[in-house]
Amino acid sequence: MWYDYRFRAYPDRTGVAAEVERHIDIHRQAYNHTRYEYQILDTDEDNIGSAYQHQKRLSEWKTEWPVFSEVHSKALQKTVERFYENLSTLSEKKQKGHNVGWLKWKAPREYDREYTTPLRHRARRRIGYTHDRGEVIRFVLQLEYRVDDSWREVVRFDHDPQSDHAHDVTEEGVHMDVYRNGKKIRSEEVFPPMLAGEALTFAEEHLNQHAERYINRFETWHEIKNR
Amino acid sequence: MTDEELAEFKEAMDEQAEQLREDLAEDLGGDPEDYRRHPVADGGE
Repeated sequence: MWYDYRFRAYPDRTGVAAEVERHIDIHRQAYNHTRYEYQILDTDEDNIGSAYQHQKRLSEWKTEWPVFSEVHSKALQKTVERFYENLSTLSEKKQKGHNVGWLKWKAPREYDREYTTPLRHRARRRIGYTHDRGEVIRFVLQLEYRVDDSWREVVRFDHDPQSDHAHDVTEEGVHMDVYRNGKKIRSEEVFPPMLAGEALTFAEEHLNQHAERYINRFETWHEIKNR
Repeated sequence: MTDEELAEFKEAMDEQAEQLREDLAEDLGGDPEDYRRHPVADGGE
């Protein structure tokens, strides 16, 4: 019997979505680095070729690239294992006569276009979108406020049909998620279902018009007195 | 946040919106003004 560590996380409920995204990106880099080393290092001389052997290199990684020390060691080991599991699956397919290629390098999941409007390091609006064949395929538009040296969501619009944590504006309508004390407290439909490109521009205009009201409400909720 | 800061923020967002509309026109086609919206719905309360 093969047991795996798995539990459900709710990053949008706990307000740690940005930190989760950062960890995911570090693991993406670790996966790519495992793949890179597998290709360039000598299996016998450098003692790799299995997840168990390759995991012994993690200490060296952390010394050379401190970013790998920012995630849990067990999780990093699982990422190395994932590479070898994928390699095993690829090998099995090849043995069955499938025409297989090589494991793909995992690209960073960022947006094609990103914008940040800062205001003296106290509030900012971030926008990002990715497009394909003349259509916006995912976007985020978020108002943030700096509290205790960390950026907190104030309100957020998003569209990403492939994500479990984002909306699909073409099906659900354009929703605005409202945050308080680091948690999403509600999600409101502000506009009806529409194409993602239209939704992005409607959401931008909405936030432009109402940013002051949302900031004032956020300051009241969090007892921030700046006036 | 003071009224001055909020006004400054609004101005910065307007500038950013102009850039967004220009980029959308370049990426999706059309004219930047095609991406200017005038929402009538008012959520968020």
